[in-house]
Amino acid sequence: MSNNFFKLPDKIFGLEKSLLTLFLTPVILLIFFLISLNLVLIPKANEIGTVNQKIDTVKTNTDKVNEKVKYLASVDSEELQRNAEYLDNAVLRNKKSYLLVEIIRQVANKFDYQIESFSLTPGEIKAEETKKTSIENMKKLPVALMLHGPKDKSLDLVLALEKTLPILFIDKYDINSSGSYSELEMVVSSYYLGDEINVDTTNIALNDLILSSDEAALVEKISSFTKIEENTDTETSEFQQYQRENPFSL
Amino acid sequence: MKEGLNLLPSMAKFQMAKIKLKKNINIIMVVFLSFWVLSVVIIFGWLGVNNYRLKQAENKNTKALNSFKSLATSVVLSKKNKYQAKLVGQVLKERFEYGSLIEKIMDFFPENISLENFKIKNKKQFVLECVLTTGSDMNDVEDKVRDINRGLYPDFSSANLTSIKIGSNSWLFEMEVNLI
Repeated sequence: MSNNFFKLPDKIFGLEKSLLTLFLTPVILLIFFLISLNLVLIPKANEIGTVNQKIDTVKTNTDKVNEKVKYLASVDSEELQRNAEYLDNAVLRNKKSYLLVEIIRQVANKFDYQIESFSLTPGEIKAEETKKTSIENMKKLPVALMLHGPKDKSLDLVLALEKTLPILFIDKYDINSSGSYSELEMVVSSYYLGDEINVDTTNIALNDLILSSDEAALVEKISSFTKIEENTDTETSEFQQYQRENPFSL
Repeated sequence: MKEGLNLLPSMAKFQMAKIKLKKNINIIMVVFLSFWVLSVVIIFGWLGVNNYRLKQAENKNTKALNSFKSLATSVVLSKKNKYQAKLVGQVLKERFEYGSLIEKIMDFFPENISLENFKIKNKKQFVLECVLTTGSDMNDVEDKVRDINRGLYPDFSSANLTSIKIGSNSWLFEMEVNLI
C-alpha cells in the first residue's frame, strides 16, 4: 500500500512522468541557488563593501594619527614648554586683587614710582567687573591706584605696564605734574581665568595642535613681555601660636 | 536524416529527444554549478583578502595610536597652548595700547613745551595740559592741531584747543585729541 501511495501516475497534467522528472534536478538546483544567493552570496557581497569602507576609515584615521605624530615629533618640546609658560602667565590664575597690586607695585618700583593708595573695588569699574566678558571663562579684575614718582618716567611706566605679564589693561589714566614730580591716577585691570583648563584629548584634530600664524605671532609678542612673579608667599604662611604668660594672672 | 527524413517510430523519436534534452540540461547544470562555485570562491576569496587587509590596516592604526599615546605630554601641552592662545588673543584684541600713542603725542611738540597733565577722557580721547614759556611756540601748537584735523597724522582723527591761559611768564593750554 505504501508503495502505491508514493507511486506517481504515468502522466501528470498530460505530460509524461519521465519527462517531468527530467526537470526536477534543475528546478531543485535553481531553488538551491536562489536560497544560497539570498542567504549567503548577497550578504557576503555586502560584507565586502562594509569591510572595504572599514579599511578606508581605518586608513584615513591612521593617516591622520600619523600626521599628528609627525607634527608632534617635529615640535621642539622645550619651545612648547616655554610657550605654555608664557601663555600661563598671560592671565592671572586667581581672583586675588592683592596679587595684581603687587605686580603693579613691582613694575612701578622699577621706575621709582610708589603706590600711594589703592582701591580694590573701584566704583566706576565695579559694574564692569561683574559684567560677563565676551571671553569665555575669563573675568576682569580692576584695581584703582594712586601713584607718585618722577614725571619723566611716567611714559616708561605706562609702556612697561603694557609689556607686562600678566597682561594689564589701563582703563583710566590721569597724570598731574608739578615740577619734576607727578601724581598718577590709574585704573589697571587684568583678566583672570575662572576655571581650570580641562584639556580633552579625545578626537583631537591636527589643527587643534598647531598654532595658527596669528596665534604664533601672539606667543612671539607676549614672549617679549616681562613676566612679573606672583609672589604668594604671604598667602601660604601658617598661623603661629605663641605661648605667652598672662601678665595679670596671680 | 540529412534530407529531413526520419523513419524511426514516434516512441523512439521521443526517447531520442528526451536523451538530447537530458544531455542539454546536464550541460546547462554543469555550467550553472561551475558559475555558482566560481561565484562562491570569488566572493569568499575577496572577503578573505579584504578581512586580511582590514586586519593589517588595524594593526598599523594600533601602532600609530601607540606612538601618538607616547607623545601624550606634547599633545596635552599643544592643545592647551592652542586654547590659551585663543583666549589671550581675545584679551589682547580687547586691549587698547595707550603707551605708544602717548609717546606719539609727546613727540608732537617741541622740547620746550612741557606736558603737565594728561588724561584719558573716554576710551579714544585724550586731554592734555601743556605749559610753554614763549608765545611764539603757541603757533607751532596751533599748526599741529590744524595738521591733525587735516588728517596728516594717521592715528588721530581730530584735535582742538579747549583753553589757553596766559600767566606771568608762561602759557598754559588744554588740548583734546581724538583717536581714530
